[in-house]
Amino acid sequence: MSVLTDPKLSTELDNPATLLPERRRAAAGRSWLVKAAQHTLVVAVFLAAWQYASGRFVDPLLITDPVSVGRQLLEWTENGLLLFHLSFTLQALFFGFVSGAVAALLLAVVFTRLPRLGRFTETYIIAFNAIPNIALVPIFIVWFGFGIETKILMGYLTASFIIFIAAFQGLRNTEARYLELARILEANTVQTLLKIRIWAAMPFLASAVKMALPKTALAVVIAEFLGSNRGVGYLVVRASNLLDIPALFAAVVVLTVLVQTLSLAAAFLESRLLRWIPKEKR
Amino acid sequence: MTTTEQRPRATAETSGTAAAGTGAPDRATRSGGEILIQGVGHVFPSDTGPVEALRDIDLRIAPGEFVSLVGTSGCGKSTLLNIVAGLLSPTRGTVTITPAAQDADARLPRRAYITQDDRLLPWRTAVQNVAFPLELHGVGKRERLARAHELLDRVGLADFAQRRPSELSGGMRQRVSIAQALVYRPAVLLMDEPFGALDAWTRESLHELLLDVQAELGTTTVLVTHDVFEAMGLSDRIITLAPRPGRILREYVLTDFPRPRSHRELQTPHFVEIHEQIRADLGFRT
Ligand SMILES: Nc1ncnc2c1ncn2[C@@H]1O[C@H](COP(=O)(O)OP(=O)(O)OP(=O)(O)O)[C@@H](O)[C@H]1O
Ligand SMILES: [Mg+2]
Repeated sequence: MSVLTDPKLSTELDNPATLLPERRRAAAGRSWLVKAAQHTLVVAVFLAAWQYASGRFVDPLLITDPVSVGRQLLEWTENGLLLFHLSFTLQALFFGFVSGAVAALLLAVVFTRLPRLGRFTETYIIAFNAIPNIALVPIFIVWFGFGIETKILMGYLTASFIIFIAAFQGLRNTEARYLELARILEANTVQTLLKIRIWAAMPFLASAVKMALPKTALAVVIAEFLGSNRGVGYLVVRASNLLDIPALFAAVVVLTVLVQTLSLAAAFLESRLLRWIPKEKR
Repeated sequence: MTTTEQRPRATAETSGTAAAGTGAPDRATRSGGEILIQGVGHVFPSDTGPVEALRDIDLRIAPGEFVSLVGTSGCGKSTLLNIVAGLLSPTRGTVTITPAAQDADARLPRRAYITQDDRLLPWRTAVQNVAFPLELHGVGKRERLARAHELLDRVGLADFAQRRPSELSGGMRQRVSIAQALVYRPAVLLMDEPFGALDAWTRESLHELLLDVQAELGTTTVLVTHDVFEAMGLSDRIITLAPRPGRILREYVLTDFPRPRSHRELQTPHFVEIHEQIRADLGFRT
């Protein structure tokens, strides 16, 4: 077999995964740069078209223009409003998400130990999850008022549902051969949980976190829409009440950037946690 | 069954601490356990009616003995090993494992089980997998890594310590499993077709390793194999099983032949005769 027709060799040359590490990194760096350039170009063209159309083809009262939106964002940054509202939303998100994730994991662990109770209760949990959570906000406001508690609670509910369902499914479906290994090696229950079950459930957990993080942020913002005097959601509501179109667009930009950043962070976290799974199997 | 004498073995009084880097084998004393299988039978329930996998198995395996089980596919070998390993409770009878008299490290599990398909944890590297049993039972990090590296070296995988199972070949994974089983010096070592995925040369070097471990530690070993030459080369005793339901057919005691047994030795009339007889037991024409 000649070198050129050897299928193994030729795929090694073509497939970035089989390149030498340094060459792979260089290739990845190049492709990252190319992608960044493409996206910058698309956004620039879009903004230019928007700026051009505003006042020429479309009433600027309706679509404002990028420069005004940018000016508004700059103003919020300078007078501290952006930080003020963003920090409120991030705080609610942080406490809601972390408490929700911890509670979901603990409950999933308990139910993995008591599988019959778990499967019984899961039915109710799933039924409860079917309630659109927006509908609950007014009730929470009645209970807890307009403060951060209501937003944390919304975040908590959203995160804990998503993570519980995934964690319970992941933890109870540990492959039998890993559990047999644990038995042969006389691992205790805690070790089996921490060193085997959690890891085996990692693909479920990571994708749940990836899904839950932006959804929790949106839930918090929705709670802010419906009753608040702080937060990114409040920025949107206030701008729309004042019919301040540049501010409205600017608030939407803040919201989009927030959710997008969280999605990227979660995807990055997922890829770190799942590094042990070969890429083609993820 | 008269195999009551244990073969001579190393009895130096060092504890289970393997010195890192030193080439000298660590001669911790840990003699094998006794396996007593009494009236074991097993029936699997299934959709098409119950399947009787084993019937009336009576077997005593002496401390330090090396026993091979041979039998045709589906005759219940894996079922029997699962029962001895404690993964499956038999529908009838009992299995008793009496631990060795002196234990070098009483914290560690007494049984090791190498199965047909490997049970390595995909999120751990080879060396982390090998060190896993020690990690579970409180052996300090430095010591367990030193012992794991030593074993990986002995199975010829020193250069692959940091690879994960998905980056290893089937035969390499099987060798990591073997290292994992030997790292805690079990009193009883159960192996189900452990060398199936290996080439003849790797197989032979692992046979040597097994015999070394046996001589060093006196581990009681049960090997399931389809390879009669493998069984004849390694065993004190070969047991043939009949299928459906699995029963003990006959046993061949080979304690009179010292090991290692060379390839040429296995061609001598005595072994040829045993080979023919085993083939006849399993229903092949001789
Ligand atoms: N979980 C199970 N449920 C139902 N039947 C089973 C189960 N496991 C094994 N059996 C049956 O028990 C019998 C013995 O199976 P076992 O796996 O012990 O065979 P084996 O001797 O190890 O075969 P091989 O050499 O092919 O590995 C077979 O007839 C098989 O169909
Ligand atoms: Mg089998």
